[in-house]
Amino acid sequence: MELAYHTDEQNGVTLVEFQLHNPTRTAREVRIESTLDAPILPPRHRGYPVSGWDDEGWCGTIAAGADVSLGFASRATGGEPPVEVVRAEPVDTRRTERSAEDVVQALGDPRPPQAATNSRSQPSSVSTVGDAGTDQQGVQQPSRSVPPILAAWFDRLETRIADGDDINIGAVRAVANRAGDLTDAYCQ
Amino acid sequence: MILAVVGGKGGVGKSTVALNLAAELDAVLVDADLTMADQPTAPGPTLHDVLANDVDPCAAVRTGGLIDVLPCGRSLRGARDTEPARLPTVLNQIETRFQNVVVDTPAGMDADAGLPLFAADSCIIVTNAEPPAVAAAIRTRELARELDAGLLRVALNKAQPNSPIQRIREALGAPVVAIDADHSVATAQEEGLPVRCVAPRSPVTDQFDTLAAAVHSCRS
Repeated sequence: MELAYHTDEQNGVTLVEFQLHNPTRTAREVRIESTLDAPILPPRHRGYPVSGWDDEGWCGTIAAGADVSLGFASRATGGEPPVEVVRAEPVDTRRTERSAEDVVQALGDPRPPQAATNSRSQPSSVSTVGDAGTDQQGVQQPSRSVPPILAAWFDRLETRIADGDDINIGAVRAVANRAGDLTDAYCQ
Repeated sequence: MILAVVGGKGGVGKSTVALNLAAELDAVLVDADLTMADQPTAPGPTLHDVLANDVDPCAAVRTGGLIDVLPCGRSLRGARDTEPARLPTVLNQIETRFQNVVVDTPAGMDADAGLPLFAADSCIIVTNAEPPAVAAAIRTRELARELDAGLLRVALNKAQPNSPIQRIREALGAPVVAIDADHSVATAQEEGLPVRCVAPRSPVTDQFDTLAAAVHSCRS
């Protein structure tokens, strides 16, 4: 991978421009990282970092024989060279086609956690948040808490419900009822 | 054609737009919200069963009503037992049989929102004019770009005369079709019907027609 760069310092900010050339006959997945002593300020599109950028550099695929020109800013000064190629591996183009499994892996499994369906699990078998209490007769009562993973999932649902202003009230009620049933089940 | 109806924020009207677009396009409406389904349902197999590989996708489509629908199950266990990565294959099978598929996609940026975009030829982003909804719509547009689902139109739901249509168009980079705030929409949705059936002369009926025409024009 051939790298050329140019830097420009202005008011304590370094602007870095660089060009990458892939001279080989195969596409390469390339990782570029800044050597500057501060996080980079990546290019943004409508407020969000452009795809491929993170706080430390850029990652992307450069086709065989292709050139890519990129740039970023950093509040650090100095650094020579300002960027380095940390990886340039041949890409098996047969593997570059994304699969549905890749999408699930990248975005997260959308299914409810296993704990949400174990309605008869024993409280002692799960790690719960919150404390158990005692009733008026001093009998130990189970906690009204649910496992953290389930609580997190409920939080997500709650956010969606709170966001909604025209969602189906029947569906919301059903979810709320299920949440109550599950909580009760964990307390049995 | 597989058309994903998306929008990052819950409650902006995705399900309403999806149902009405399916009616206008004579498409199968697939409720792909695995955990909070809200499209009309009926006894019989659901998307949960299909994604658990228990039922043929086309056999699970309810036909004979006003809209052909593949409803989604309502149980957590059903959602847990699915294999979400099968969804694109399922949608392709339905497309092969029925031609047009409209997917009602859940809110958020998880895989259940991404998989319909992955399978879709194109998408409609639904938002209202509130800043959080527009911000979520922008994130969804980025996800659609990443997954190669072209953005056909933005449906601005509950639009008012002073809604910032031009700003939303610039923010999302696609033409905006305004869907007015009208009581006929809620009435129709409660009945599980398209607005055309409840209020055929409502401006909203014409607006959904305009949205569907845009989808048609982009295909031809």
